[in-house]
Amino acid sequence: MHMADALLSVPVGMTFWGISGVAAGYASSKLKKDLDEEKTIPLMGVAGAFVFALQMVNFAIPATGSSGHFAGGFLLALLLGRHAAFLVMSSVLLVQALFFADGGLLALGCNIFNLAFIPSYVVYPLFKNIIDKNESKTAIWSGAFLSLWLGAVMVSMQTGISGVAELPFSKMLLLMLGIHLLISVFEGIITVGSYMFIKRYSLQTELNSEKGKLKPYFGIFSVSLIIAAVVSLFASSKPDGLEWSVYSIMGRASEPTSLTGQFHNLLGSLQDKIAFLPDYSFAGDSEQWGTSVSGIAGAVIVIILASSLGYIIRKANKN
Amino acid sequence: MKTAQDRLQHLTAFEELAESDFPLNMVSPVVKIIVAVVFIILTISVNKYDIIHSLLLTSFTCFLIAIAPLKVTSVLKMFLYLSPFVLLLVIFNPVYDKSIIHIAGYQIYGGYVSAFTTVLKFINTTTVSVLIVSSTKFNHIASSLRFFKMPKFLIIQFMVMYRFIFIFLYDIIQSLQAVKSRGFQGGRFSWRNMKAIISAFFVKSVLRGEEVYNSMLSRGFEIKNFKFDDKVKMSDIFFGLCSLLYVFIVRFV
Repeated sequence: MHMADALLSVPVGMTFWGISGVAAGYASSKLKKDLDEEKTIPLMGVAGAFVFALQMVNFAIPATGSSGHFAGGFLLALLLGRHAAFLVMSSVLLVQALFFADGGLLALGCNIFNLAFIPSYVVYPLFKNIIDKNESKTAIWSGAFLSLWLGAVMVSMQTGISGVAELPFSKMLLLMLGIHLLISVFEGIITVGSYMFIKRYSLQTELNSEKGKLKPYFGIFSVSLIIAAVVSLFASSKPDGLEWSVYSIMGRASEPTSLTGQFHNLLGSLQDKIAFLPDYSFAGDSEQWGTSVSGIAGAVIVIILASSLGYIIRKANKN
Repeated sequence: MKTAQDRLQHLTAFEELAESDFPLNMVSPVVKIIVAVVFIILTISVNKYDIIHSLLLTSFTCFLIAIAPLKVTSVLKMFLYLSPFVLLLVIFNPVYDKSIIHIAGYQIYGGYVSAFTTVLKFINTTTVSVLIVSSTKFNHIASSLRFFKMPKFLIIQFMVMYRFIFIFLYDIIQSLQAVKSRGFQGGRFSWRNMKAIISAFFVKSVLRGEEVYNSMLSRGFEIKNFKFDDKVKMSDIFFGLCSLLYVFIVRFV
């Protein structure tokens, strides 16, 4: 799932370098504050080398003739906590990029985001509380599965936005998700098995020093953003079914100009003036970019509205 | 198992190549990384239908091959291993991009041109980064990362992990060899047992890692006082400036 430089545009590569760089700085500062370097560094080194070595084990994907390998981001988060897991996975990716050219230098930011940031900071907080409570194997499996799948979605998005590959985004996404479906299933199985077995040796409690509940808001927010951006990219520029049916029934190419129609047009022109993202795209621009950003903006607005509504209800309930 | 053996051989070969005395080995890693990054950015920024500039930039790759210790056959092997993902995506370019491009008086579908330039970009960017790394000692790479203000904590972790990788690759080869040789009847692969092997391997690794780290401490390795060596000589600056000048000329002229 490693991105290559050739599939990226410079702005996309640089943006993800920036995001990953900030995340690395944040993780380092958090880890320095919380943990003893002398003890943590060798353990992190071991965990990194362990994941690197595990990635050498290829398993055949039934009925496809291809093979996949373990990624390990979610297992690292379970074992080390999110900050250490992010740094360990980043250094694994750095070794792969430098010594094996597996993912380019410009694409390193994207690869760190897809394979380290998503499992550590997006998916892990979503499942940590459940896993801590009852060690649910389903939750561990789901976490590992979701980590890899969201990574595959991000690869498709980064390639799609870069515009190097001509394959339409929807088809690219289906291709990537199809390829990663079985790999994700195996990722989940290996993560559950390894985690459960390692726990028997009580090493995990020593490694993961993160105690207490984690707030999953950032994870929920990020997953919503990714889903919104993906779904919006599928949004068709053609009229929706209802509009199409009405036009067909009327037998006209344009909307009727009755009194109701004129009122509709008036409201429509007013809407055009106040809407900052008309028809899920930038004003005057019908490109996919606008659609995607509109999806994200829409999701953010919905999240803010839903949070505000919840806050109002809570306040009202108190009074 | 073959992958693990290949990777181990690959890393060992890189360690040996970095010790050799080819011209590229003499250049400061900081300068080499700056040149590589600028080259990659300029290569990627070339328009997907611009064959000329993509080809011109390949000339710099060829120059680096000539002064680097890595053999062309090794580079080609790497392409074969890494290219499927890129090829999988660009193979659709001729199908979806039917725009007409004029090259030397001939009309050609834009999809073919963009697929070709993408593969060329892939070859250029991959080759340059591999050549730079193969000509640099591991400790020097770590030092230059520190020069670029990467967090010290991350770099030390990277260095410790790299040392552990060699040990664990040997271990994993042994484990996989054992799995292979013990299957007398060639029966079905058991995931249940494989999970146990993987997990036991991790536990063993933790204990082994502690031993290795203690050995490093006994030889005077101290995280807090660890110094990165990042000296840049005049000859390095000269190499860097000439390379950048050439790359900019072939990209923009």
